[in-house]
Order: sequence, then C-alpha cells, then structure tokens
Amino acid sequence: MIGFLYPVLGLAALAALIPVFLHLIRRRELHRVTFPAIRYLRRAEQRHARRLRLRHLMLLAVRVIVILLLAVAAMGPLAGRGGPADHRATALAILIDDSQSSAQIVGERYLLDLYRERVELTLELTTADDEIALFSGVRPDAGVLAREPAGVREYLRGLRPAAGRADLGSAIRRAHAWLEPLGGRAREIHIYTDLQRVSLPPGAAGAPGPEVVPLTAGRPMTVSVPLRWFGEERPADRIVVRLVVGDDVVAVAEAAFGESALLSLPAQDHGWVQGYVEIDQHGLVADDRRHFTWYARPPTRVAVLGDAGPFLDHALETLQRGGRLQLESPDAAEVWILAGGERLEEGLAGEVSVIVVPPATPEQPAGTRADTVALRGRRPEPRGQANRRRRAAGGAERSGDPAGVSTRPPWSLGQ
Amino acid sequence: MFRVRHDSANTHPAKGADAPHSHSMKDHLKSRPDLLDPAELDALGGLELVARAVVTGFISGLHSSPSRGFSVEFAEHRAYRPGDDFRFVDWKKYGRSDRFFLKQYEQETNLSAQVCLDVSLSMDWRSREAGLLTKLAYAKRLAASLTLLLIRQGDLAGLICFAERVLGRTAPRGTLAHWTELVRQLAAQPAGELSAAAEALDEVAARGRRRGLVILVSDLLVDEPATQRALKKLRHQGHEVLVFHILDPGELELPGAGDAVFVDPETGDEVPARSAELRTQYREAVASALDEWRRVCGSHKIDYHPIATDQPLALCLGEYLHTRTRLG
Repeated sequence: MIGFLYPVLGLAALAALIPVFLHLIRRRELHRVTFPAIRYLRRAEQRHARRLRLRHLMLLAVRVIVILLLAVAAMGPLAGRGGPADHRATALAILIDDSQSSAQIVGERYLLDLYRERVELTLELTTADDEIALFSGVRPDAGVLAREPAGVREYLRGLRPAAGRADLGSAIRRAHAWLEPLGGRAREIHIYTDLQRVSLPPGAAGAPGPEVVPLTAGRPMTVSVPLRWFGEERPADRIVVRLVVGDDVVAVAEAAFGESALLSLPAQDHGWVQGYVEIDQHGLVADDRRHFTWYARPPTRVAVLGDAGPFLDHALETLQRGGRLQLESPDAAEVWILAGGERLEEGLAGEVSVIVVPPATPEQPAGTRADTVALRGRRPEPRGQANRRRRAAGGAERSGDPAGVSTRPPWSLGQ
Repeated sequence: MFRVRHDSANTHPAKGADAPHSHSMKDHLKSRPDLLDPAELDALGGLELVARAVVTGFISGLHSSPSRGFSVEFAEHRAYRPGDDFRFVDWKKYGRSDRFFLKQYEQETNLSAQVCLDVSLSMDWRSREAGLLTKLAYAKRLAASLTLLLIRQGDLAGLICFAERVLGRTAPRGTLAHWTELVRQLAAQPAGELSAAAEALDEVAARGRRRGLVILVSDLLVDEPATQRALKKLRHQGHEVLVFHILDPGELELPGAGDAVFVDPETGDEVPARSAELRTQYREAVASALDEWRRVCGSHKIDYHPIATDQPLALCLGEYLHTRTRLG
C-alpha cells in the first residue's frame, strides 16, 4: 500500500478532466473552411480513421496520465508505509526525550503526550517479526525500558517528565549498541525530542554549552536576554522583549538586535519555573520565542562552626546579602563550614555537606590535623608552620628528607 | 502519378530566366500570351480578348514549331518562289515537269466539337485570392480559347454549360460571330449548384447524331460512376472525347495545419480534420483518384488531362492539338 503526505492535493487529479473536456469539445469549436475536394479528404480520413482515432486516444491518455502523475507526486506518496505487513522485519529502537522540557505545553497538550501519540502510530505499523525496545533520553544508563509493543505502551502510559536534562548522545549510543547484534533486520532508531540544547553534548552542531543560571526562590533577579540577528541586514529599530512565566507577562523591555534586554524576573516560589521569552514577529517566526525551565530553590542554608576568620565571615555575609545563601544554626543548615575541624566526625556521618577551612589562627589543635590527614590521605600541615620548619631545618630538606614537606593545600572538601 | 505540375521554366520562361536573357524572354512572352500565368493573363481584359490573345499566340507558336500540318488537306499547286520552304515542294511533279511546285492545303471543316463546361458551385472556388483564378474562371477562359481555335481551324464549336442540370447550350457552328455569342454566353453564365456531368454528356450523346469531338471541362467532383458511364457511352457512339480535369493547387495539397471543419460548398457535407495529420494521406487520395480517372479514360481511349489553374492555357491547347491531330 501507499500512503500520502498531502492527500488533499489529490483533488489536483480532477485536472485530468481538462484534456478529456477539450477532447470532447475540440471538434465543436473548429473554424470552418470551404473546400470542394472534400471527397478526397473523406477518403483519406476513412482510410486512416482507425489510426487517427487511436493516435488521438493515445494522446489523450498520455495527457491524462501526465496530469495524474503530477497530482500523485504533489500528494507525496510514501511507499511502504501503508500497512503493517508492508515492510521487512525491523529492529526498532524508540528513544523518548522525557526530560523536563517534555512537560512543555504545545497547543493544549503536553509535549510528552505528543510523543506518546507518535510512538503509538509507529507501534501500529509493527508486526510480530519486529523487535522493539524503548530507551529514555534522561536515563540512558537504564538500558532498555520496555520491549514489544504492549510493553512499550504500558511503560509510556506511566511515563512522566523526569526532573533532569536529557543526554541524547548517550541514549543514542545505547540504542545503537542494542541494534548492532540485530544485523539481519532493518534497523531504525526513532528519536522523539524537542532538541533542547542541553540535551545535546557540549559543542554539538557548533553550539556552545548551556549557560547555567542560578535562580533563588523568593528573590527577584535580572535576566539578560541577548538578541541576535541572523539575516543580512540587521534592523536598527528597537523591539519589545517580553518575559512570560506561565501565562503571565512578568517583564517587558526594549532592545535592538545585537544588544541584550534586561528583564526583571519577580521573586519565584520554590519549584519549577516554566515560561518563555518572546519578541514581536521578526524574520523567521520560529526564532521569535525561546522557552525555558528553571528550578527555583531557597538559598542554601549554611552554618559556620568555629572561628572562620574575618575574611570568610565577610564573604559569607556578602553572599547572604546577595541571596545566595542563608546563615543558619548547625541543626538547620545544609552545609557546615568547619574552621579547625570541630564536629568533623559528626558532619561526615550526617547528611550535611562539610567544608573544612583553615582556622583563623595558624595553630591547630593536636590530633585534629592527624584525623583530617587520615580521612583525606593528605598532609594537612599549615603552610606557615611548614615554612617556619623549613627555615629552621636549613638545608636538611635539600639533603633528601621530604617527609615533613607538604606542597598541598592545608584544607580540603568533604561530605 | 498525375502530370499536373510541370517545369515552370518551360511554361514561364521569364521566371526561370537568367538576367541576360530576361529581356528577350519578356519579348517572347509578349508574343506568346498563351504561356502567361492565367492570373496575369486576366489583366488583358475580358474573356473574349483573353481568348483571342491566347489563341493568336498559340498559333504563332505553332508556325515556328516543326509539328505543323494539322487538319489540312490538299487543295492545289502553286509555283515556287524564292524563300518558300522546300518541304512543301511536290517532288513527283518536279520529276514529271522539271519545275518546282508547292502543295497548297485547305483546312477541314467537317469536325463538330462540343465543349461541356461544368459551372457547378465547386468550380467557383479558389484556394487563395491572390494569383489564382477560380476553377470556373479558368475553365471559361479555356473553353473560349478552345472554341476559338476550333473555329479558326474551320471546325464547328458548340458549348454546353451544366451544373445540377444543363443550364445553357449553344449548337456547334463555325463562324466568328457564333464564337462571339458563345463567349458572351460564357461570360454571363453564373455558377450553379450541384454537378450533374452525366446528364450533360447523355444529352450530347442523345443530340449528337454526327460523330465529333466532345470536350469535358470539369473538376470532376461529380458522380464518378455515372460520369464514367456517360463518357464510355460517347466513345461507344464513335465520338472522340477529351477530358480536362481542372484542379486548384490548393486541392492538390491540403491547406492549413491546424484543426478545421472542411465544408463542401455543393452539398454542405462537413469533415472535421487536422490538416497536418492528413496531408500525406490526402495527397495519396488525390493521386489515387487521378490515377483512377486516367485508368478509366485510358481504357476507353479518352484523352484525360489534369490541369492546375496556375498553369498556362497553352498546355490545354497543346493537349487539344494533340488529340485533334490524331483525328486527322
């Protein structure tokens, strides 16, 4: 069977009636010529009437066929897509990009639902001879998620957008690895994705790696939207840039192509933030809107244990003012900053992140340094102490005893 | 194949002549209007003038021709004078009298010729306006010339004009006054409708008790079996029959190239056709028809001459002369 991309263009086949119509009316619209020797003409026509009639019919048939072929070509025939039994045994790897962007609403439906629908169309064309496997773009390491049409349908019914980005490169490699031993069949990989930049390997197709923008819940921030023009003549006028979150326009700014529009994003609640930035129609419509998904979370809760010193205290205060972190008590904090190794064992045993920093004073309590070395396999000798010892030893270090020398930083990071 | 077309250099010397000879050719054509293109010849004037010019030119051509001596019989002897042609010297009399005498001849006057002219609607047609006469106009000039030539030879000439029936008839006579009346009748004769050649020929056969010459001038777009039967009947009665098949050049080659409905002016019969597709087949059909006429006429010793209307009238007169010579 043969399917068609644009079946409505089959109406063009009606144009085949034109030569038939002309053939039928042709003899009625001829001009009249007085000709006495018509008997010779009639004899000539009668003698060759059959051949002439055949020639006219063949000419008519050729014209009709040409028009029909043009109409069929315009309909976009798809040979071999017409029915379940119209292909040889195929190994089909279905790769679904179920990343966060698949929750995007297109029209009135989720993108993931569109993926499901398209996969269903493909599954309807499969036969019992086909091998089918489903892969996730977000979890390529999970391997084959489901096999056979029934299994794939069942899995897709329960599939929800994952809270992460897709890794299409890895997923494709995994699908390829699955297809490789199935050499006796036709092999296909069907990828359902919106081709988010973050789902491609960095540098793929010449694109730079994604820019990571921190977004802190409950605090307004400024978003910079660069406007690029890919045409030959860049418009000089300034255009309106709108920032839309959900269905609400939350910020509007003006900028020219080649500049960046600065938009104030209001404070967002904790959770995923979906929206888009758009401009009025310029050139390609597809370029006029860019969707985004951010995860807004509260500032990191940080506790400082011990005397971190004035410099670290000042830095933490600056970050707190900027909304990047929130200084809390150790019990409520997610991150402990340990100055001098106090409660190190407790922090490592818990679920908090631990950062060990040099103490405000160069002197370290005995034993603490040794514990840290044991944990990290490093020599946590403070730099000032090592230098003093190096000067006291004179040339002893140069004599070949490196046991007391450390070239590594005296602090480390652990969790 | 039919012999309608001929070398134009022979009939139209001026057309094919080189520049050094063009002047002498023009002079020659002035004295031989019978060799002129019929359409050009028409500029001379009316039917009578044209016929006189043609016949005069034709006879002057005969005198310079070696093929002389038609329709004459011995009358008396005349004493030789310097400059006379030795071919006419009676050598037997010279042997008996030792003096030169020339034979004198006088023309026969006992041949009665009837010209049957087709004036049907199909004859009143030409394929183009410029440079061509209608078949009827050409046939009228031919009939006038033939009858004048006949009368000048001392024969009797009559005329029958026919279309769907016999429209006019003139009994054979041998005077120039009769010829003038005959030409007047020709000039005034309008075209009729259908062509009933068989009826006209049957009437000639019925009226002509005396054996004579019957000249049919027609495009032969007639009832062919009936006409052929009438011609055979004339031959059976002992008449000499001469058929001039008048053809327009546009009838020899199918005109035009596109689709058209061809309409018969006589019957209104219509044939839709595409000229480009049927041209070859049409040419074959015409050739086949002419061959059939030639075969039928030849089998009954009827002189058959297809003539196109762009050919000089001298050709027709020459064909007549050939037939008349055979009659003696």
